[in-house]
Amino acid sequence: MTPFRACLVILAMLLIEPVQADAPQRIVSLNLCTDAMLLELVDKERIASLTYLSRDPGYATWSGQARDIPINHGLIEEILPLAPDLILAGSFGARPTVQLLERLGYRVERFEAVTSVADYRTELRRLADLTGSRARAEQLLERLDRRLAALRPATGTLRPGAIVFQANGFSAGAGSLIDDLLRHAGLTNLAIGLGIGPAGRLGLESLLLADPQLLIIGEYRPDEPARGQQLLHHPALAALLERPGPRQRITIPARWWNCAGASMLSAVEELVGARQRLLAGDD
Amino acid sequence: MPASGYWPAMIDHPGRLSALLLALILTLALVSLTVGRAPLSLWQVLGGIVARDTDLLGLVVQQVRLPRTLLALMIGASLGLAGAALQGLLRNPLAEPGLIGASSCAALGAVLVFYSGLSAQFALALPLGGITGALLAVALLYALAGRDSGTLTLILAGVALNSLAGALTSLALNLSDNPYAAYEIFFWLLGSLADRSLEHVLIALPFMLLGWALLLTVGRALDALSLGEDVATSLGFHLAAVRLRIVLGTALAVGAAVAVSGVIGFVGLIVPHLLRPLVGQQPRRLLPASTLGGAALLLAADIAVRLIPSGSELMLGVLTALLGAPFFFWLVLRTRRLLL
Repeated sequence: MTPFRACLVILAMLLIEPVQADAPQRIVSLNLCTDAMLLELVDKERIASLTYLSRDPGYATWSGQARDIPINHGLIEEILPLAPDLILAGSFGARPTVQLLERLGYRVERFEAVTSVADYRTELRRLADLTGSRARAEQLLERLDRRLAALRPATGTLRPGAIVFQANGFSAGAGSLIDDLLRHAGLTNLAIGLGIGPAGRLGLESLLLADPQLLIIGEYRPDEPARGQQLLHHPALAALLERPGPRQRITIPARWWNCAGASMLSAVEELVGARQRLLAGDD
Repeated sequence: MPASGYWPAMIDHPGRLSALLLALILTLALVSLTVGRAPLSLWQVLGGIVARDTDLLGLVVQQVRLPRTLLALMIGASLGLAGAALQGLLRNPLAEPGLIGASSCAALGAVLVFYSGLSAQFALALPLGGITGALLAVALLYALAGRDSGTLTLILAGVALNSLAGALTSLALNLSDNPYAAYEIFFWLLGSLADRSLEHVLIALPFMLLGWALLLTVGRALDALSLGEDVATSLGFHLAAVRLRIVLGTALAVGAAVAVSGVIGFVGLIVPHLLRPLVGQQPRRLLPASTLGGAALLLAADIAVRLIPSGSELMLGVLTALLGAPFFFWLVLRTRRLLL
């Protein structure tokens, strides 16, 4: 090869973007939260299947996008015919299926539940590396960081006490994503001192005695009755809000913070709004 | 048959038993108010009762603990009274709302009303649903096993109703759209008084009062009935009217109770048996005694449930079953011994 030709070849190699021949093209997701991250990072053509939960607007803020993607229920018979080259699984759920897939030699990547915004950045980058979409991930994270910085309250200002209350009395303590979001919104999570861990049941009495200024109700399906949801409308909560001092009660749809993603920002915005109303002395 | 030799002090002075039971209820009620996630002293509780409900202690005592204590009292009373009345009517020591299927059918009625959203629009629909279920069960049971009810027929009819009601309740819960519903079967079939509010007290109370009024007035008729149906009729009692009162009274009291707390079994079985020797085996005196005794028993059980250390609170029906099942075994053994 003449030097001239060699230069042409080298030039060509430098100008043409390398095709990621090893990037997975048939990705199956077995977990609601990996569904969310996957949709944010890769084109739909590369997604072979999402969980059936992604089609339900009560659980997934991205349900519109998931409408034309095949769904799975975590069953091995649904997954094998798709011939996946990458399978994303959570740490709970579909365990026998995941174990079987690993034994059969498929490439399975497990994702733990995200416990903070920083954790989300790590997990998103890890998924981006697995799927060859680092550029898009960095774009998303840069946008996230920008909006979070805009919402962050000035240092030194008050951090009103808040408690999250979800169906059956579940609340979020230290080491949970919800707790991290409360911190980003400039609130003090009173559930931490009550010893419940990242997710645990908080008795109604414990909530009342903690005397929160902000009561955050996380609801799944407010229109469909369930006994566990009745607790969220207990008259004691209304009486709590009548107590002296600025008090607020807000409702955050649980799907906004069940999985880490763009909807976390909606939650933080609501929380920041409530905090501002409290500090302004509104009731 | 009469055991008047054992407890003359109680039997000959009917007021004493009532006074004792009332004192027991009052003590247990005060203890019930002090027990909870945050143990309160008696002074704090008394202060909380009279405080304004924007005061934290007042809030906890009035909105959380008081409804729970009142419900334990009311439901225990209803179950004890219904058990005594049913045992008198069916002349069978194994009759009680749980065993004969009235409680589980009441739960089915309440579940259908609650998960269809009906009770969200019309609060009284919940106890009415429970009452309808209980009414159908007791009426059906009486039709199947009423008149000369051998124990076998009664138990079989009860088993059939319990199985059917339990299966239909589970089906109804699984068909609900709400993901929590399927797991709430444990509440409905095992019963719990956790997280109840004054609203629950208010929707159940009128129906229970009506039920108690109907049941407490059949005492004399039950006395006569224990001598046999012909004797009772010849003494001038209208048996059909008596049966109707007991069926309606049981349905009202038990139906409203189950709608609010789920199925709590064995209270109506144990309490009449424990108190029968103390009232000289007289059904007429057993009725008010069982009412008070049931209230005391359920209060005690509800206190125990809160004191037992466990992750999530134990279901009340589990505790009453732990008490009731051995008692039931003892009854079976005693019946066998008598038959031999």
